[in-house]
Amino acid sequence: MADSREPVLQARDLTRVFLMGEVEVHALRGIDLDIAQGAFIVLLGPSGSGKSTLLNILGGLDIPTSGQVLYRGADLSGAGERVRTLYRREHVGFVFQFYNLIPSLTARENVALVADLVDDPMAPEEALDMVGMASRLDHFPSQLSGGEQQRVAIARAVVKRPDLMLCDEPTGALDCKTGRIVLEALQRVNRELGTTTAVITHNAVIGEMADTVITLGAGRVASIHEPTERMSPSRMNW
Amino acid sequence: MKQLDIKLFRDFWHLRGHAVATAVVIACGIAGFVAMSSIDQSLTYSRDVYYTKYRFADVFSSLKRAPRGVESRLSELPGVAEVETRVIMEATLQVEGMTEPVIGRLVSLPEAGRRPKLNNIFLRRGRWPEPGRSEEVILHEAFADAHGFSQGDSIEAVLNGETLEFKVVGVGLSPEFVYQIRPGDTWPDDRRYGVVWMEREAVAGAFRLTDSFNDVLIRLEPSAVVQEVLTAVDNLLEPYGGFGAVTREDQMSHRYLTEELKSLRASARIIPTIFLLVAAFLLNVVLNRLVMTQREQIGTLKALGVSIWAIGGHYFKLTLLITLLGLAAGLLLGGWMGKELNGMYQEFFRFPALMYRWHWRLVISSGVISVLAGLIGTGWGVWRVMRLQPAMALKPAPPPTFKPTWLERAGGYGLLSPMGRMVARSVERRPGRTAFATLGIAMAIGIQVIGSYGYDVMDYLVQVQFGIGQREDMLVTFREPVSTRALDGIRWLEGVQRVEPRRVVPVTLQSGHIRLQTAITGLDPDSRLYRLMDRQGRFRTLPESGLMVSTYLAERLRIRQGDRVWVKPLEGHRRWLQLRVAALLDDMIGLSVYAPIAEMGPMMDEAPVVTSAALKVDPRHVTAVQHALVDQPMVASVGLQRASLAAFERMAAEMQRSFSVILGLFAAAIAVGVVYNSCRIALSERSRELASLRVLGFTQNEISALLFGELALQLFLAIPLGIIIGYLFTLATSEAFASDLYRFPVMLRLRSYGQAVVVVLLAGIASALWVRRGLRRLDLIGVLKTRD
Ligand SMILES: Nc1ncnc2c1ncn2[C@@H]1O[C@H](COP(=O)(O)OP(=O)(O)O)[C@@H](O)[C@H]1O
Ligand SMILES: [Mg+2]
Repeated sequence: MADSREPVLQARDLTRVFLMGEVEVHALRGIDLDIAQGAFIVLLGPSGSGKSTLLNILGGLDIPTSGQVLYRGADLSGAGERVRTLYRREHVGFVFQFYNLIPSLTARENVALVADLVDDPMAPEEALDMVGMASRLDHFPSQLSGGEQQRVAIARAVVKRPDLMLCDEPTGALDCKTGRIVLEALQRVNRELGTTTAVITHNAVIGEMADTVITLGAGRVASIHEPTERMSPSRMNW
Repeated sequence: MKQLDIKLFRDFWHLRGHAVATAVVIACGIAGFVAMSSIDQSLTYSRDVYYTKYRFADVFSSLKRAPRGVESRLSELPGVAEVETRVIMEATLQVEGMTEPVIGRLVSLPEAGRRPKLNNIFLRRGRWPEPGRSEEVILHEAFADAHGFSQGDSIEAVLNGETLEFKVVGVGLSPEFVYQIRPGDTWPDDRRYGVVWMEREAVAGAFRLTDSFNDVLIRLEPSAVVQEVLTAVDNLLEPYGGFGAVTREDQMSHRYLTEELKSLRASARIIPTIFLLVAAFLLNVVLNRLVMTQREQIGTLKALGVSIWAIGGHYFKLTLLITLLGLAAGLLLGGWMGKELNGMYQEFFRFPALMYRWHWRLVISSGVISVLAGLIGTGWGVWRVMRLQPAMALKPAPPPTFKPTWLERAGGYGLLSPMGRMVARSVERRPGRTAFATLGIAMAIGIQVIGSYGYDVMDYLVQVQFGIGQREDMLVTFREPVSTRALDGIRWLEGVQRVEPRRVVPVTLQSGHIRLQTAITGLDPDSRLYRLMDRQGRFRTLPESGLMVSTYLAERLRIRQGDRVWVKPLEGHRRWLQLRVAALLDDMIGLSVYAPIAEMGPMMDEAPVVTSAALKVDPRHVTAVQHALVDQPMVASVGLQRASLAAFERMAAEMQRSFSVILGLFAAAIAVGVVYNSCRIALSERSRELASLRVLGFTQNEISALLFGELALQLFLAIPLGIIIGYLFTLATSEAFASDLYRFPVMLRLRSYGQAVVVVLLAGIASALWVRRGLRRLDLIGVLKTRD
């Protein structure tokens, strides 16, 4: 199924080495990857296996030590700060473990802030409605639960109509029940808008909702697996 | 404990930017304090030593003429310890290179080579005149310096129509002429006026005062009742045309010196107060921020059993370190500034040695006030650290909560973008901080304004008072009152375009038991060369009849418009008269009393006479007219006010420029300190938000807007506030420095205010841009790994 679609992102022999004083930490040791348009991908792997590092490079937050990242054929690996900022701004929607909402802005304003960055955004209310937050538009982050905050963060990513949603452990700080609601929101965005989505988790169960499950281990792709059937998050348990 | 001290230096290093910015502000305050106080101390010390060593008199009186025999009667008055009589007269000097005549104040020396018992002369160079050598003179140093005179030079002098060739044998000084200014003048002019000491017989002979005197100096016994001695001297000299005895307080030179010391003392209080308050505020903000980020450390230390005193002490030591850094820099800077400025004072005030010295107590008081500022700034923060419960401290500080604020509920946010709202909410959440920062920047503007005020005032005096008010080219003073017909002789001189008569009578004013020596100036109400102006530059006309009195004089006499005041002319009939104060004049200079000239005759019981004449002269003929006038026996002197003013202005402008440059730099330091600290703190408090926004695709420029939004608001509010503060500062300054010498107008000069605003804005923006470099170092990835 994935082969029939055009790859949006391609990684070619990516490596990333961090220098910690004298010590070299090899976070990525040669990753090759194709992410097809509209796919829902789950990245699995133990802690320290390089998932976040990979996602950051794919999202233009970091640059690889060697190898290439191609976004629709354009090389990002050598791009400067300015180009990567523009790339993040126009094409990528991020969701993080700790939400990173602006505490002094309400849900609606957090979304509107990002909507202003692109030419053809959704209405902030519409984006919040998609994640089931239509009733809490004027609440500040401190007045929302963790799951609610994460859904606002998803709405904030979605409002730009991004080509890519990159989510680093979006449920990591949430309990199972709230986590499911968040994942449903992500699935809905993927289905209704066709947004290519990559979700990092160290929770294998979540892989069952993906088109493709990529498992990393020690900075390499350990396996790629395409579930035959996509499960709805509401039936998952962890 | 060792570990805590290591932490101390680590914290200090971490805060180095804040520390330096704050220390600079402290340094400015201390430097201002040390410079002003040390000049004050140096001048006071130099003065006291000088006065004692050269036996400055306690009481002074001049008179028309009394026989030498009166001297012993003066010495017998109770309370009088020593008496010295002199003959003092003015002569015209022909100085090479000067087209206009120069006025020499001839002061007699005791006979037979005796040194003056009072107001002795410090001989800088040369020697004393030899007895019997009437041509030998000592010149005042300021005058000698102005013309480059030294021993062996000769000067042609006209004494009462008699030409004499002076020979300079010495250059000296006297405590009587620390400030060399001609009586009745407003500004010193060392080129056109100089004191000349010479043999008594030579002066007395020329002015027909042989065996007489016209000036008395008295030293009082320690037990003397001053007022009684003054009255006794006045009574004794009354028949000899006494002009009223005065104490040092009303002695010209002493008075100018005292006024200067007074204003130095005022500055020594005001400047450090402002700076140290700003520094206290900065310390407060920095410490609070530090404590916020170190809550957990504090909690851990407490949990480990480190005493609260050790922890409190740690933070206090950090403050102390910053304060001491500022103190040390301030002492050095202040010492250097004081020395430089002190040297400049030598131009104005002549002492045998203007020693620069400062008392060790100045270091102590500097230390005390800077530590006090440190305590004010951090006391509360340190207290909170000590009170913090370990259990509470170990939990991260509760995240800031935001609510819709009142402005928002009032619908005021409708127009704001989300970023605008972020700024507005954080300002509303911590209004105190914004208010203080705004106030700090506004203070900087105010200080700048004050810096240019002195300069503006000088400019104003020249432009307005002498450009529009006093427009005479020349002031001719007569030896004795002359009849108005004598003016005709002047009127027909070639080049003279206008002659206006004046009648000046020295008087004593009395109201209640307050007595003042001054003079009434009789003016032509239609005068075009002397137009009365108040200090705001508005023209005033003389009342039809009665007196017009300086507001300041009226205040000192506690009289109001419409009141009557006792007046005793110190010449002519010398009877007490009661005159009506018809109007007050809020003027800039002196203790003036004006009356229509037509009233002067009846007041004095005499036919109309004049004592001086103001002239408007065709510029091409000025020199010729001067010489023609000087040669007339009835003319005592020809003055050129405008030239004098220009000379003084050059000197004063140099001083003012130094002050305004110093204050300007200080103000910029405040602006830098406040803006740097507030931006740095905004950067560290917002680093998470800023990094998150960068991750979401905001550019560096866009997030700078967020960082500087608050600053922009502070600057925006600070401008009008700073203008108001600047205005209030000038108001306070003009009041604090008001004396009977000058009363300066409060001025709103667009250029100065504009300059102040621009300088402070530039300083602020520069330091903000410096902080902005920090945006490039934001850790985008790190911010994603941590919780709020
Ligand atoms: N900024 C960094 N500096 C040094 N080492 C890093 C940095 N970021 C990640 N690493 C290291 O790289 C490896 C992979 O990290 P990461 O991508 O965060 O793994 P994961 O997200 O799968 O847990 C780890 O060993 C981690 O310690
Ligand atoms: Mg990770």
